[in-house]
Amino acid sequence: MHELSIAQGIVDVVEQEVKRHGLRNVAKIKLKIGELTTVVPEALDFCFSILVKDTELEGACLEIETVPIRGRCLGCKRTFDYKNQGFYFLCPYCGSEIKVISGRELYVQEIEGDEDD
Amino acid sequence: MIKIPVVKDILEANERIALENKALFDKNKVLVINLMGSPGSGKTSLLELTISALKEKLRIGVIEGDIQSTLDAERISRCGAKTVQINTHGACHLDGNMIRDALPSLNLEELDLLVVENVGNLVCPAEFKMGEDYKVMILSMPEGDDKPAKYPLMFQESSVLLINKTDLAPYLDVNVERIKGESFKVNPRLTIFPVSCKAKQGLEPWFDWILKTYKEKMDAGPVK
Repeated sequence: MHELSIAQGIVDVVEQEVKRHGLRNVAKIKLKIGELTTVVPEALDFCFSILVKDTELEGACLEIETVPIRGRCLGCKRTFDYKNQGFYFLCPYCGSEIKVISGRELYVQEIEGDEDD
Repeated sequence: MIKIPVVKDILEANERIALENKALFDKNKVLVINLMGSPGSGKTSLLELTISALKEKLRIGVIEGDIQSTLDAERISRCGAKTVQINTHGACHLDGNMIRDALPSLNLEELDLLVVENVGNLVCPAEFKMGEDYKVMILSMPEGDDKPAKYPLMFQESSVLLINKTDLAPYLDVNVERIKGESFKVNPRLTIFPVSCKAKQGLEPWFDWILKTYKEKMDAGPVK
């Protein structure tokens, strides 16, 4: 249940951006979340809706893009999808150590709203 | 309706606080270890033994993270370490902010080693930095050999893995070698120490690791 802390992080980032760009009526917040973070989208939605109740962000919806875990082999340099090889962090081709190249993401990508007049 | 591209780290605020904590630890030359593991894996027992073994060599402080109660903090302070209890009142992990708030209760100038015992949990603590030098995790043998594959982030973030309760091995279907193998498949860089806190076995290499790591941090010289 780290979703509550992550939802608070989203609120903090979005509130800053809303102020900076003079936005109101934020309708959509696009997020990029890697699978390695084990964030449960439903739990995140729920925590977010509680945090923004009676604030200017109430009603904004979260649009979550899930990023699969991918690795690049440090030996043979090939890239691969982690799920297809038994959930291990070793190269499926040569067994060498890998670098995780995606799956750790936890970003606010874009905010949609109205411009302040 | 307009779209504002942002691309900002959601945990940016925590990372910033963690960096501030780290700067404070470095300035005061304190080695900081974030100790993580499941409830019942032996985090507090390991700490008790570690403090007893090293308290003549290092000045040790402990931050105890628990959802509630001061049971662990009482156990630790009986061993002779300066202890601060953080009760998270439900939160499943410690973060940079909670550590920052606990620091005024510790005099960093009078410490060489600070161990933060995280809330017992294999998921959430891995995601939140607090300014530590190393993440160390403890897994007890009865938890099984499937934990690295099921909870990869914690194994990946950790530098050291202690495999505890090796004294129970005769009664279990798992063995140390298999747990080691599964752990290396998730993080080949792990340093692994099989130990039994109950039987007080295998702990010397862990104590040596702390002393070596502390010396390395001191030898690194003053921090810019």
